[in-house]
Amino acid sequence: MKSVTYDDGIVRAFTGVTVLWGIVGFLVGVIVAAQLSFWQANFGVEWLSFGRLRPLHTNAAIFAFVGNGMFAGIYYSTQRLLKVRMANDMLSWAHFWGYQLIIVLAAVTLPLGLTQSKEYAELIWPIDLLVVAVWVIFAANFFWTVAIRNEKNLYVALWFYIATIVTIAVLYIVNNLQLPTSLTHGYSIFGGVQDALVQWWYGHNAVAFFLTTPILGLMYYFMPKAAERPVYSYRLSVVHFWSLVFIYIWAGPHHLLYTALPDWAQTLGMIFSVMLWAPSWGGMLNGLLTLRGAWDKLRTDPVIKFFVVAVTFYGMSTFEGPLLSIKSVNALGHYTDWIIGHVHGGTLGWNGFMAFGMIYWLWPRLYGTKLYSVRLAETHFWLATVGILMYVVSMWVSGVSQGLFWRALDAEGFLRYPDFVEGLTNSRAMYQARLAGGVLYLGSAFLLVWNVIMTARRGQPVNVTVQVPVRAPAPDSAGAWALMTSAPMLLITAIIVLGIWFGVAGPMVSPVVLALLIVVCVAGIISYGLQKQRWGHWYGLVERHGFVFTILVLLAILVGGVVEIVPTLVVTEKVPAAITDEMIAEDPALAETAQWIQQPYSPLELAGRDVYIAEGCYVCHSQMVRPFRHEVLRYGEYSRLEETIFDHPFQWGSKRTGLDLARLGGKYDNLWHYLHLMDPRSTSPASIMPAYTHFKDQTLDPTVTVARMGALARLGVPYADEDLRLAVQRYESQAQLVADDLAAKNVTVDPASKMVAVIAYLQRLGRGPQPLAPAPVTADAGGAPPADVAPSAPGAEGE
Amino acid sequence: MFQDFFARSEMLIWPLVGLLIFIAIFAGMLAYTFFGLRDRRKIDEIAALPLADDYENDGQAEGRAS
Repeated sequence: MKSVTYDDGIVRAFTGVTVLWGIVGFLVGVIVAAQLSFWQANFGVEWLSFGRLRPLHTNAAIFAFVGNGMFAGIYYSTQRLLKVRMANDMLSWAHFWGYQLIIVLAAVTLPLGLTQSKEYAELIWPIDLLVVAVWVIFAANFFWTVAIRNEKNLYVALWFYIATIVTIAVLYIVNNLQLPTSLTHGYSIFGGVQDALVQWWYGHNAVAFFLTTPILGLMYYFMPKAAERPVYSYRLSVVHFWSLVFIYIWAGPHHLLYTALPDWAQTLGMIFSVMLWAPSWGGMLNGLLTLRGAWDKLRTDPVIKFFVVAVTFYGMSTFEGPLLSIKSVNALGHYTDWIIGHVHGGTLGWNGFMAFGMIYWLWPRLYGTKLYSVRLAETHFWLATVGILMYVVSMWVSGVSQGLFWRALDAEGFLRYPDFVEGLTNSRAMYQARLAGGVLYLGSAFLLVWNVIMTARRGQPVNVTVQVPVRAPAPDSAGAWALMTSAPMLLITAIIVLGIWFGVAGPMVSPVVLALLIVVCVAGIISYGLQKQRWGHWYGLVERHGFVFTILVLLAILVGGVVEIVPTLVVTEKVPAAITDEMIAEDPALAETAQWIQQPYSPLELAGRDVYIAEGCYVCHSQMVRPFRHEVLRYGEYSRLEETIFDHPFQWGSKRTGLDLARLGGKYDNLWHYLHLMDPRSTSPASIMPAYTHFKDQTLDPTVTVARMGALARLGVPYADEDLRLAVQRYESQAQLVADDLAAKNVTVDPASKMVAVIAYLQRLGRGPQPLAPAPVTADAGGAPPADVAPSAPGAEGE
Repeated sequence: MFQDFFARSEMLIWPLVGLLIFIAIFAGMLAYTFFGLRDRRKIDEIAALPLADDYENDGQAEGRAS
């Protein structure tokens, strides 16, 4: 036996900031909820506007609150499950302070409008680099601890932690690949449909591997602790883990159903999402049944109360997610508040309640005392439960109502409710109910704060010392290679190789390869499946070898990602940057593509687009008309994949608090846009959009846009050298056109202002290149072509 | 163009290949779970790991402060 003192200081630190950032995240959530009920809550301050605060809210809730809670639980449980102190205290504290620095930087940059505009991946590239560095520090410390452990078996909670560490690293790096244009700005290397697919591959799996797998790991550790009995079925937990890890990664495209994403990818995403039902509910039942024989504690123990409601919300969310992924249901629910209710049920219901339960269990033990007030914890539980239920139910009602409202047609087949804002007005009562629910949830969290402070004051920080058995010979260093080359691993490798061969083989060979694949599988089952001891022995060894286990997890998550993303990445090689008449003469099929293929933005439009992104307009406005009659009637022709192929980043959006803007260009004149941006109520009395009066006063530097055009050209956007050389001149001439048009209507605007750039961008949406200079005066001015249309790439207009 | 690519591309076999790999390995995992994990004592030992750690069930730390 030897003595081991756990590092509980790091657990206390992460737990403390979990409470702090929870309050911040919930508070910002209440503010943005208030802004949706009362537009005045934007206060006319640009850095407090909804578009900038909403990403701050999501990042604070997900990465600051849940993230820190996750780290607290991982540091606590990992040391105890491995019977060893964390490998390196310095790495632990570098992780802690680095992570807090990231959160502070996010809290500063997002309200300033410094964003990538990719949901849950908004942080600018220097912060992304810091995230990667901190994650590597965390991973190194974790795997180092696994390597020096005093327990030969890796408990299932640790499997979930490993999956989290590996998968988040892959997702975060790939989705944030970008070309910097300055210290605070960069463009995603992916564009249009590629960017959409990569983003939602990341976005969905951020939910899966940041908000689900680590929390399931915590569930498998802390629920048995709280119930004082082992997990209901360890076998089920094994199946739960592997099936969840395998299936989750495929489900991302369900965020893009009925968009311009290729149909096969949509179907694949839907099928795997529905498949997720089984492992998710298996895990939920495993958690709830862990309480068998201990249900009496539900009456007296607030920790069990929080855990039971958390796991119930997990079951509800993982029922709702696959349901919403069914295309016909998604057609109703997508872009509505239903999705908002769904994600809050997951984040505040499942993650939040797990975190609260864990903190109430953990905190007294970290201070060697009892909880200051069980009654306060009980009150917290009931207020938070009522709060989150009010939130979720109001969003369900609002969301389903919106979906039905948007699609309602009259007897003649036309829109029954053509005024979009009318639907928003109908949702107002639900928005206020949501706000009340959010206030309850926030208010209840202050009870946690008080309980945490008073409990800490009552006790003293404790670093627990235990006696553990002396470790057996290092399991990771001995036999890892032998395991990698063992017969089952070779069988898995053979299956993968034959699978790939099946994919690349021609129509004559592929059936033979498929037959061979089946034979190998059957032979493997006969060879190992019937010799049960071998299977068990082999996997038992894998469980004890952190490195081999990690490789298997990596394989599991890469399969789904690669087969979905690679075909969509390759497709751009098939698309010419420009389609000439000669090309159409050679291949008439190109005429269809030429009609829709996107033409690059003019310098002024690009500058306006960057402002649009910085303001977070995408959080309320989509740019994707789905192929439904009601959408085509409301917005115009449905969106094509070709139309946004050069959009870095894509702006398809995921929520419609406002109208879709894909076909906005030309629907209103410049004066309408000016008035709408200065005071949305002047053109749409029931609008809840914040005013953007600062657009009129703030100016842009055209040379910055030129540099950004150069970056986009390197990413494949067809800007010619001439486009870059004439960019400033074109910027100024087009800006003057817009300013002159407004001046003719008695509105004076600086041509260099953000207002002019944004109007130019909005007028371009859904249309081809717009005039950059006044048309020359001719005898027949009405028929004169524009004097200059940029960029110079050929091709017809998009509409 | 895009429709043509996605209609004819041989790359679209990859999702099917991925599905095959998924099913094969998942089947292997099920086989392990039901045939390999037969040693009840061993399973119980692993499942009890969270309960086998250092101290308390009653809210009082029994470990000593360092």
